[in-house]
Amino acid sequence: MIAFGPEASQPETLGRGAQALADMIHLAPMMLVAVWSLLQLLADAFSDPGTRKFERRVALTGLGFAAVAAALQLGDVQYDAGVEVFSGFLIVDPMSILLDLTVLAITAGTVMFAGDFARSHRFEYGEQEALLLIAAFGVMILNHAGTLLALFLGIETMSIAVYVMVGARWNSGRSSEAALKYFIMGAFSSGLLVMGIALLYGATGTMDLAELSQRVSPLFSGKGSWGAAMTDIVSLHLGQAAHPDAARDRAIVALAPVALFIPGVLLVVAALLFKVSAVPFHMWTPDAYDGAPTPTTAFMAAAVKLGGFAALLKFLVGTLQTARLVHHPYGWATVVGILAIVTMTVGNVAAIRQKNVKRLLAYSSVAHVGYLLVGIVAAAFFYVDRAGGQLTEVDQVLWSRGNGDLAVASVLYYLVTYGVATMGTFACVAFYGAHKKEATSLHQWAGMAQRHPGIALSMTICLLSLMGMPPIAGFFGKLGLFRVAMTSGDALLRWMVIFGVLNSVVGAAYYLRIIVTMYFRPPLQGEDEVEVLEGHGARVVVVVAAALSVLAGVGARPLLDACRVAAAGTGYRAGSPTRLERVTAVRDAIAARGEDAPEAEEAAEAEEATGAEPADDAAPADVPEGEAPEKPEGEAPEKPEGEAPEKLEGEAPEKLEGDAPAEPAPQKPAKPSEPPRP
Amino acid sequence: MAESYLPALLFVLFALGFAGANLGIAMVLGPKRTSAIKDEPFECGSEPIGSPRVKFSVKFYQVAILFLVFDIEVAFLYPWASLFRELSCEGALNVAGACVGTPTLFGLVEMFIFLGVLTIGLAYVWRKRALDWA
Amino acid sequence: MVSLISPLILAFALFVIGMVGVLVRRNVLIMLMSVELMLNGANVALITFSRLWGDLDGQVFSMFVIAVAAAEAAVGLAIVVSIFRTRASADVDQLTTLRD
Repeated sequence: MIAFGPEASQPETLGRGAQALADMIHLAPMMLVAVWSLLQLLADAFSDPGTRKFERRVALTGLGFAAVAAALQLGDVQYDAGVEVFSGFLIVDPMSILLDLTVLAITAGTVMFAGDFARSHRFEYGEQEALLLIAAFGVMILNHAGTLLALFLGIETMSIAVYVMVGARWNSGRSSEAALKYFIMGAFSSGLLVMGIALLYGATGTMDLAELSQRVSPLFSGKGSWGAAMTDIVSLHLGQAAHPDAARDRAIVALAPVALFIPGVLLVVAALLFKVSAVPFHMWTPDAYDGAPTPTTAFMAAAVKLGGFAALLKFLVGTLQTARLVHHPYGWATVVGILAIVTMTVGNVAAIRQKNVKRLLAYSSVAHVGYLLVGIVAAAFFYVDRAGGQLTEVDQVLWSRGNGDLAVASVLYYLVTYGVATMGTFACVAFYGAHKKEATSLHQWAGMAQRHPGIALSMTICLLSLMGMPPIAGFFGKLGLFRVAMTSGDALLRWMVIFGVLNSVVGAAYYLRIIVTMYFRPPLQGEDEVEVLEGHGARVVVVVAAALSVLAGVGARPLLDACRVAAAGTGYRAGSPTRLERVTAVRDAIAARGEDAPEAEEAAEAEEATGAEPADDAAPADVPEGEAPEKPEGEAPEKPEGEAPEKLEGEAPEKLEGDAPAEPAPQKPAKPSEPPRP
Repeated sequence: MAESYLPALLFVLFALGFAGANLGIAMVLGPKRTSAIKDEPFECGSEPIGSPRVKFSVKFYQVAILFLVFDIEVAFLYPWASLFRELSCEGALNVAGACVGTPTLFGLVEMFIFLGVLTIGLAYVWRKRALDWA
Repeated sequence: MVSLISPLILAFALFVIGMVGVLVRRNVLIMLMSVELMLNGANVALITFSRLWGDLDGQVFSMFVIAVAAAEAAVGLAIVVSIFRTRASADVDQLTTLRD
């Protein structure tokens, strides 16, 4: 990439400046967020401290612009195969665009109540919105990362901004303590990350993820260094080597890359697992989530985790797809699989014991990381495995790729729905309590439903979504993950699913405890009565999150479709024809189904007008992919609309306020059908 | 091989000479007054002898932190400077380093964007009165 | 030409010293310094490998690591200062407000 000079001067169609500009336009959402964060910083510096309310409006405007830019890209077929920008430093593909939109929505949600929260608890600071935008920018770098450098910069941009936000509540010792704990652990993990990247670079000589993925296979294949070393090692061991010294040297030289590579992978994976707080690296999570100001906690639980998983998807699933690297005995998948089981169990068991709502939700977010890792491991298994049986070779590859894509799509769907529901629950926690008195202790939530019925209902919906209650989004997230994991015959995945289901039951216990406390305990009186946050930001976020959770569950089709398009061809290099083929196939399959049941998606959106639309989920059933090629422009308009509810959170909050009660009525809770079989 | 280090040697000699000459001129021309305070070893204004665990004003931290960040960012100027010719030329350079293609402002604009971001940081720091010592 | 083994040994030694420092020492400032050691160990490794492969990516990466480390140190020191305001200690074992 750093190849200026004579050899780089092959004829280019665009000049450097024009190329850079074109790249920036491809990255419009990200660039808008970055520029806006600087503007926000200047606006804060050059305005009176008394005018902080307008900063929220400025931030929401910027996020709105970015969301519009991202939504315009979402249906654009030119990004289907993935476009490399800045010489492969970043990649724009459907997955990154979908995740961008989610991050923008989460950030907008946080901005909605972060200012109110800080004002009420007397630690108002003008940098808050700018920091949120910078952190969102970091997450977006992770979504787009095409090289290890981008991965590192994304993680650091995100983390450094979040460290500051965690410690921003200067009038509370808990906040700075949380910041310090998070910071020390975070800095340690970035040390591991950098060393891991250095080792990977030493083993392969490249920072580019796609290039890296190609150089991994020869390291381990029979023809490459590993296999060659094996011959020498065996001959040395048997004492049959003709020239023992030469054989030893050859073996060392051949093994050196592998000896660098495997610790490198371990270090990078450890650092990424730290960021998403998977189990051996989760120690900081409850403390940091508890001590941080609640809006920051919401952002950490939703957006930072999303960034971490985007990185895990890119690194583990997208890059390390060599059978020897995924499977036993050198494979990461066994390790990550076992960690996933431990993660969900530890998270849930610890959450049950909690009396503090924030810590409870922190541990529950640890548990959700465990569920998400099931999808990551499943995707990795599928991408390297082939189906057995009588299928032809081509069909086996199709089967494994198709299921791998489906696993990635499930992870994406889960990430989006988990992010929305988490946002809602933490917004509710922020809402409950004011004037330097937070009501994080569970007993203070007694009878909340009597005083704030609407908020309590929305909170209940969000909690049910996290729990995995059928008509709500979280259920389909879990269902998708577990189902695709069961499709593989692998014993480890089976165990992961078994533990996942058991853990979901355990999880229900503590989510229900909050709900029961809210509804069936007598409210606190007099002195103990909890005040609530002024301003309508937090309320809007809770209600919108609940509405979206229901919408994404009952009308799961558009979101699932977007996730399937985003996940298609994950294993292939950006810009490769195979990848384009896969994405087009998925788009065509969706469009073909759309022909059968026209306007189905629109019906879901225009809820107040249409009422029940029975033709929706019955017709399409299992249309196999790859048939009935359609005109590509047919689905272009309907894609952004599928995403519209995400955007609305930031843009037109007042419009959605009344949605929650009206939502469940219009559609029957039919199961969205994902065709998993090729 | 050895002569390729000649510029470095010349540079070192020049630096030593420049510093030495300045010291020498100051010794010859400068006024000489001594007092008890002036003879103390200079240590940024703090007491040279005493407990090292005195409290420093937090302002020292603030300035140190700001210096650290801005100082490090300047390190990015070095790779840019060493590639400036290539960045300012659409096409190849000839052996003498002159541009044979079309010259472009790309390199310059790029660095101005970078410096612009730094300037925004500086403006922010200045407006937040982090640079005021009072 | 210098063998690439010696800088690598230096790199790993720095990294391990830093890692042990973070895990063993309880003073925040020393932990911060240890993190810097880890990062700089990784930097040495990056530059060594950059030389090994004759590729500049490693060096560029180490520039970014330096810049990020500076930003991280700035934020870390600011957090330490804000902790000092409430309690005059840099010992992480005394930070026990947040616990189960």
